[in-house]
Amino acid sequence: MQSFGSKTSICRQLAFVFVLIVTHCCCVYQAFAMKSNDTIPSSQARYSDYFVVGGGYSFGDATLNRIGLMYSVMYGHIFSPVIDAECSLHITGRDGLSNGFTQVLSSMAFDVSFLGKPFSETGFRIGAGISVRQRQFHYSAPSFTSTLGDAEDRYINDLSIGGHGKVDYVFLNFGNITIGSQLEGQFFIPVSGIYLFQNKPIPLQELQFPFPPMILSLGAFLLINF
Amino acid sequence: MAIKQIFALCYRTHFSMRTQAIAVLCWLSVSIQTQVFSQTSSIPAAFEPQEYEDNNNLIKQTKHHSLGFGVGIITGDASAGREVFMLSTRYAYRVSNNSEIEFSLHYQSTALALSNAFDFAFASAAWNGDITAYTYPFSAWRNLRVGAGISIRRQVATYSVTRTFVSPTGIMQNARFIEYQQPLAAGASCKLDYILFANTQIEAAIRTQGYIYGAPISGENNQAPRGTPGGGVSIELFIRTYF
Repeated sequence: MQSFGSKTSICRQLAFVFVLIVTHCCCVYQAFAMKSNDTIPSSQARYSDYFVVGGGYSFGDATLNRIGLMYSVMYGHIFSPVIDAECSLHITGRDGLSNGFTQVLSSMAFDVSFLGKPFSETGFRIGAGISVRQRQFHYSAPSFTSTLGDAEDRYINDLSIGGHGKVDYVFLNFGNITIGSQLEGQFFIPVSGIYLFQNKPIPLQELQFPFPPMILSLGAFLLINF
Repeated sequence: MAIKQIFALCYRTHFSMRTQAIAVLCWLSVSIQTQVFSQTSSIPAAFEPQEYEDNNNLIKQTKHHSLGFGVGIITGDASAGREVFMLSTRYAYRVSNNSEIEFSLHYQSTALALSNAFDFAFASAAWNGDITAYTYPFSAWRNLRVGAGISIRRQVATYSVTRTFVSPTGIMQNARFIEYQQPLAAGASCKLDYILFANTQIEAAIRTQGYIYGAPISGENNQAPRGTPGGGVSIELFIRTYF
């Protein structure tokens, strides 16, 4: 299989993701250490639903293992002081001309999650659920088959199902408005789609895609309770 | 259950994806309206909000900020004339009882592959950012709201085609080309909302929007170097909450 991008570039991006994750973990650790009343979402008990808008970075097959941007919207229902349910829609993408590649990568994932608040004194939640994703890719990349270093254009329009796990933490709580961060990992299994490599149809069973079907994302969000 | 029945009916009658999406949107709007009206009618009079306005069953809002989402269908030049899914996010500030200013962000993406003589493949993603001033022009119909404003759109698109050319040795050859363009265009938008229901916390509405954009102010466009005007129309269902 062909590697995509130089090793240095991938290492740099992995390092960036690592730094983001460490930063997130530090914030969560800080929450436990401080146990500050400012972060207690006690006011959330008065509300039954919430809307969320968020943005951040993603890394995975939806961005061909490079850093991409992510935009999220969510609706959540608070079932009890310890359990929430959430529907979210994530748009992940990357585009442009970079390292000789031409690309428009667009991916839209819909999640349904259940989140628990194991430590109700903090604004910390852990959740998991199911995901559905549509990818719409069109890009040029080095050919999998040619040994001459030729580029070929690839078109991918597919649907996948999978699961995810997420961790989020509320930094600031202003009553009905809260600000926090979310770390999410998703995995997918393609179920149907159209794959054209240099306009040649590739059956899903024969598809060689060198990126594991996973996405790791980290972002910040604004939550409005109502 | 009702959604399942709608899908089953659409499947049996071989309706297109567009028809199915419109059916689901209609079902959602009707069901939400039914639920809310049934709830409001069952509230004892003593517990009804003081701000309740008799005209058109709408609540007079006292909160200034709102945040909402919408889903709908859009067609236009950014989607190569196809009807595609659109996601919207909006923040609005109520300036007075009759006017609002809204900042909204819309996203759409398209992928298309045709097995024609050129083996055409296309993908596009577009973000629209709007600033819109809203008013309620008809005092008798407070359910209707109209707005107009400015809009800016960033679109990224790639397309690839197979072209035939004659080599210097006289042999006809096929070659495949991929092109990329990233136009940024400014324009205007107009919007018409029909408010399905509203209470002190939530409002749901159906919105129709129209966009028109001038020639791109920046970005590559190999097919039309000076660019061409563009635009689109959309219909969506949106919900917002006040805070």
